[in-house]
Amino acid sequence: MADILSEISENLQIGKAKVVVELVGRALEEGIPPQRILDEGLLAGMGIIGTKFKAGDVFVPEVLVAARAMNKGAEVLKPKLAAEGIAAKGKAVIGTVKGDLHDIGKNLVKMMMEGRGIEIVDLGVDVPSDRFLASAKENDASIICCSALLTTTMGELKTVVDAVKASDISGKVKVMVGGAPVTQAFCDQIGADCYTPDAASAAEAAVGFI
Amino acid sequence: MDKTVKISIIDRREPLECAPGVVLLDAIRSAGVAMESPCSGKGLCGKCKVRVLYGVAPSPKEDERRLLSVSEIESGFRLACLLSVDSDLTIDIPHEETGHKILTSGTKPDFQFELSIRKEVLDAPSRSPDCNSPYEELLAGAVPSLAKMTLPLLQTLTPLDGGYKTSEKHLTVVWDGDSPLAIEAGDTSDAIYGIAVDIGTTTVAVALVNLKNGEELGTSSAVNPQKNHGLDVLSRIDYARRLGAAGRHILQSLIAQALDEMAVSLCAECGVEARSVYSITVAANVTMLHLFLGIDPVSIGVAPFAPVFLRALSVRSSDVGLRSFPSAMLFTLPSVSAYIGADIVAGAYVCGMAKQKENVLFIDIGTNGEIVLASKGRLMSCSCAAGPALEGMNISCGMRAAAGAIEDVSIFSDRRAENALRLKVIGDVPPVGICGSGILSAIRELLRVGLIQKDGYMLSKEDLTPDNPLLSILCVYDGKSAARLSPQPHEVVITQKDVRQVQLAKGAILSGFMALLKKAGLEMDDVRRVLVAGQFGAHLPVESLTGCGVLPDILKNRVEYVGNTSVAGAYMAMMSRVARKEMEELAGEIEYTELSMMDGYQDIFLDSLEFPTFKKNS
Ligand code: B12
Ligand code: FES
Repeated sequence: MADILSEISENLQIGKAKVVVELVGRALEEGIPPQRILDEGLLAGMGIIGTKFKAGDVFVPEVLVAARAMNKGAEVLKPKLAAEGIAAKGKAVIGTVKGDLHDIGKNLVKMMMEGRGIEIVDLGVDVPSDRFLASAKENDASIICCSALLTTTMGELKTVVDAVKASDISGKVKVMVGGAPVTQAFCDQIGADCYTPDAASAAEAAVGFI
Repeated sequence: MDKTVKISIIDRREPLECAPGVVLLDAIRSAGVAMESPCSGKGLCGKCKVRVLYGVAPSPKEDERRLLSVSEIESGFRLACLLSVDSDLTIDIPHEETGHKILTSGTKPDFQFELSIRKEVLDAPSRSPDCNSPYEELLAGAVPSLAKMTLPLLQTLTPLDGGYKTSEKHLTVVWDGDSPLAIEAGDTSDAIYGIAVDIGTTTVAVALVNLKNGEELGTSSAVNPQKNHGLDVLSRIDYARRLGAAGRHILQSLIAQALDEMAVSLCAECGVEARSVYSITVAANVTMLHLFLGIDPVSIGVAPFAPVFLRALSVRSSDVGLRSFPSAMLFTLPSVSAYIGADIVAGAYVCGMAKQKENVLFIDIGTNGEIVLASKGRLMSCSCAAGPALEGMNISCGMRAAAGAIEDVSIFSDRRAENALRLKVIGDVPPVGICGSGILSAIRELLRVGLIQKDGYMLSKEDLTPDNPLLSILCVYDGKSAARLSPQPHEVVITQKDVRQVQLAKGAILSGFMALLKKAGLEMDDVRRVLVAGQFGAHLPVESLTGCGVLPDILKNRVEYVGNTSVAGAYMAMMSRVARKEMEELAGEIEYTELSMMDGYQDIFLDSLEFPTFKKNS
């Protein structure tokens, strides 16, 4: 029985979405609890990919195909999990800041977080600070994740942080920042709650906030 | 008395006296010492390295530790922008030299000269010795269209020493179209010169031209002095944004002064008087044009990336601070969009892209790769943000193409371990780092011998059999497998992270090609010629371009290097009014594709990250 879970994990890591879907179905038939399939099959596989990505052993395309396989598998599990009354671990909104259209890094962060069982509201690119705020309130999210890839749009991260601080959700929602030019020092300087250099650590940190 | 700290710099006599807590980079700058700071002091690029020789500095913070290697920190290297000085220090600033010669010319076709500048020799109006009416009126009497001269024109008159004295038989009026540019004493019809300019983000190239016959009398080049305020265009835009009008003014005068000085010394070298220069024609990217003309570049830096202007401009050169050329008009070439500038229009023009019968790709490889595709009379362009990895930045042991930089690597997998590697180093000195062309050649070789896989994974020692001669190339660096090109003390390695950086850069360029081909409905094999323009591309051999998958292998025998086509385009615009007009039309014809808005671009980019595979035993 544990074999099928590690098989799910392995196939997920090489991006075999079809096989993953098939195996998840079989695991359900075998009567393995959906939560266990999620944790020890899908999320375990994604965790390994995340660690490898962090180390540089795999790269963006590999992570994306793995994430796709995970999402396909998760779709099969969703109704079962819902039936058992198991909800997502928490909610986060994510987007690329105003003036910036780069979204590959943001998408990776989103997928890794989903891989950790967090529900994500994706606001897309070129997102002004008030939309981050409005969406966080509306969805009752506990994290706002902002991505910025340009020297000229890094300042927008501060705009979001300041907007959150000045709002009534100040203290209730954490702001995470990232993107290639962002550093820990910059994060400290603008008073954001968290920075991580890569998507895997971002997901880890997010779990800690929930 | 307030306490001060003393900062002594090796090779400089006077120590700097500063307030405690001063950021070292600011202190160095305020003393007028040139210092590279590509990320404009944000602690991102790791290039503002200095070495602390004596004194106590606060221990390095996390950002510094990340950008410097352990052995660098041990030998006292620090980043000037992250170090605040609390007590007296003695530092050394490692010197940078330029290794590669800057390209100052490029391919250009045969074309008809048709100058807009022309000289008219007149009989000097006579005047009685005691006549005190203004010279202006006297001249207007002789040439009615000279009535009511503009201020710059009045400023070209030198009545006392050059003289509109009765003794001078002739005078020469210089016309630009139908407006007078200058009035000179005597018959000067033989002396008529112009300067063609390419303002690059990194380097500036100028050519002095005899407009009478189109002969290029000399060329020169220099580093763009704005470089100290950021290496890429966005860092410079950010500098201008942060400092506002003052920042814009600093950047404008830096480039104007440098250009003025370069042009003056080039004229002096060629025995040409500065006042006989009547045309200065400039091609550059859109940000450089904004900064050179003192126009606010801020909107170029954020979506939707709208510049203030794109069209060709013609102004008095003195209006932008080219002080030594009182009689010259300045002409700037037109651009297509915020990231397809006049330099690319110039290149597309000199390469005759609008007239191509076959499918032709034009590419300027650099921090920003700009691509133009000509297909069936249609011209399409895009800009792909490669990043500076291909120029040796953001790479662990990366450096500019200067003495000590590895520029070529060969690996012989059939030889004994100690002979498996051969390096070519600029200046024939022991290697201290690796430049862009070196990085590409190293990765090409590592791919060829299989130490890097096509997905970019670098093998580790455990992946090889113990008798494999390639084992000697692999090492462990910062806890990860890496390829070692040169041993301690100046260890030069290629790390897994470096490979990933190159993958992003090469993926960006290749994805630009693919995106344009897709738009045009073409396959790679339909492309007949690939024209590689620009300073950086000129140093990348075809084997490296195809070996690393910047270009697909299928185009191997179709690549041509066309040189600095930006300055060549400026030259043509100067020599021919027709060319100038055609470039303005061309700028309007080139379609621009914003890749971030293109459907399916992300998948194209991800596919382009893959490295090429090599057949065994090649
Ligand atoms: C791909 C790319 C593009 C694509 C973008 C496609 C897309 N849909 O995203 C295209 C071609 C459209 C593009 C356009 C432009 N680009 Co661009 N682009 C790049 C490139 C090559 C790679 C970026 C990338 O996707 N990296 C891979 C991802 C996975 O990494 P990442 O984003 O850093 O994300 C990781 C971490 O940062 C972190 N992370 C990211 N977000 C977040 C958020 C949080 C909360 C956390 C915790 C972590 C986190 O996790 C991620 C995974 O580990 C870089 C160059 C480079 N070598 O990096 C330039 C680069 C970013 N672009 C640049 C520029 C200038 C532009 C343009 C403005 C101009 C141009 N020449 O075209 C335009 C228009 C900008 C726009 N569209 O907004 C510059 C920025 C320079 C600077 N000093 O700011 C760069 C550095 C290249 C260069 N020229 O130097 N670009
Ligand atoms: S790290 Fe100091 S200038 Fe870039």
